[in-house]
Amino acid sequence: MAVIIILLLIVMVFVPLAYLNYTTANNEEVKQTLNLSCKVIVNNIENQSVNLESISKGYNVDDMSDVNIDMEKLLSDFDNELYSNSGNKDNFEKIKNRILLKALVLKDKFFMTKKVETLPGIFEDQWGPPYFFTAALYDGPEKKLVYMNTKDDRVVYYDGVTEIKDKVLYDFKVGPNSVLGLTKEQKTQIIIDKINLEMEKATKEIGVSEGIGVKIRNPYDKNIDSMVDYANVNVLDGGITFFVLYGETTFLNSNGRDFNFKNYNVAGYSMSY
Amino acid sequence: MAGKLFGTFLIIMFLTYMVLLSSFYFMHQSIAINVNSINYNVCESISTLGKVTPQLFTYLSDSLSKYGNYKIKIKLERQLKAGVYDTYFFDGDDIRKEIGSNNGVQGSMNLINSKLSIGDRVTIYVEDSDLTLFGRLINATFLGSNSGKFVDTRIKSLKSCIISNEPKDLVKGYDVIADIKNRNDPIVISVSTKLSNNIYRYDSTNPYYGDSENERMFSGIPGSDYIMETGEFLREFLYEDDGVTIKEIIYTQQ
Repeated sequence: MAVIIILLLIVMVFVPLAYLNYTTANNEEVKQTLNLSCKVIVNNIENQSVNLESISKGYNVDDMSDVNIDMEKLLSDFDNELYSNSGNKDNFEKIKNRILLKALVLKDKFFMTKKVETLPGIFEDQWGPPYFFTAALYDGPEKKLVYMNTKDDRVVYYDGVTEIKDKVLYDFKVGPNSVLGLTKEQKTQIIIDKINLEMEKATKEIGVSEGIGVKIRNPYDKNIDSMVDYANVNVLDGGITFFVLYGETTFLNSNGRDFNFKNYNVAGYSMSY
Repeated sequence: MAGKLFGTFLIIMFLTYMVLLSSFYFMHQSIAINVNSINYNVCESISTLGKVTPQLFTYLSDSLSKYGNYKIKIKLERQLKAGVYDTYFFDGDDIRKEIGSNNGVQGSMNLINSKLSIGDRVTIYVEDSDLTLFGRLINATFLGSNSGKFVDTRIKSLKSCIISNEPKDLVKGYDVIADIKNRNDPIVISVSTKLSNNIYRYDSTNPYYGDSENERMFSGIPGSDYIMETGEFLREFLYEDDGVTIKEIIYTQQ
């Protein structure tokens, strides 16, 4: 009897501990793999003048139009690097399938990938349209859609159809009767909220019940709680940031109860330009 | 009675085996995590630093030696143009010799202190030559026989990184002038400006800056070896054979 109890005790301690140990090691390794793989962004930037003026509004106000990022190669290079660091094909497939989205943040816009079924049952990431950092602000009595950027306080808006107007952000009012201009902190928060809103929408579409946002640091927010809470992701500090959102959800039904274990990770690389 | 004794003996043996197995498993996992972590940290450092320094390799080698007899293999892929690489393989033992002798293997590409470019790729593979206690236990024979299947539980780690930063030690022109002024013999300072095709040396025969025509500004036109105070210069050090004493400092205007 005593032997059976000891044996049961060993098994009951050993098995959960071993599982916990394996999960911790695995999570750490996934994080390392993603960190190393995200660095491929440095190898996909070329100094090249590109004229995209006619494609869409917003492109021709981009002061980074001389930066050319090979976005398709970026995705394939990321997969190659992920494969090198995953150790084997199964691991690679597992991590690849669990990447919810990839995002590329530039100074005035950002892009996100969507999973597209290229062959029956095979999903590949493809870049979606650009999301510009826009906000509707009052310029006197008139409300205008302005294009902002993370680099400086210069904003631009369209007067009529084609004419581009250039203005400093402080000249705008936040409300019809307000005399306060938009601060750097507020502007940055609008940009962060825009990124998070689109990410939440995109992750909801692929089945994450409430959508996922990322705690992106606002460099102008000097509140100590925010600085500690948001210290890990500094997407807006660099000129170009490439990051991935990794999500792993394990469902477990025990004794009629549903347990949902979530493991979400953000890994990326930010560079100044 | 004999059966009961034998049964007790078997149970004790089994329990001992279970306790050892679980302890050794956690030790094995802990070593694997640490080895992986060391490899990752070195890879990240190389990527950020842009070169493999002797200190970095020694850190990798020494840290791994605490956990066993590890073989280290490094692959360097130098990017010639987008998608085209020159590949070099390095063995850990050869690198140790290279660091020990403080010079590279003649006629071959050196890894240590070579300046890597953005986009180059370094892959580090480490593998334990021996089995851990956990591996030895599960491959152990029982009463002279085993299952015949060898379970390879040797700890391995592979990490690959893209070089994301080129090593640059940039200083301003006024730092170069200050260094020439404070120079101690026998250190030689060599300066190459954009206006000059030659390297201008400051040593015991030419200790001062600004005492000759080529180092001065004349009618608003700088001499060939005039050092622009706000210009940027790349600083490189040449060492004596001991690897510590500075022999020469080379400044090249960027």
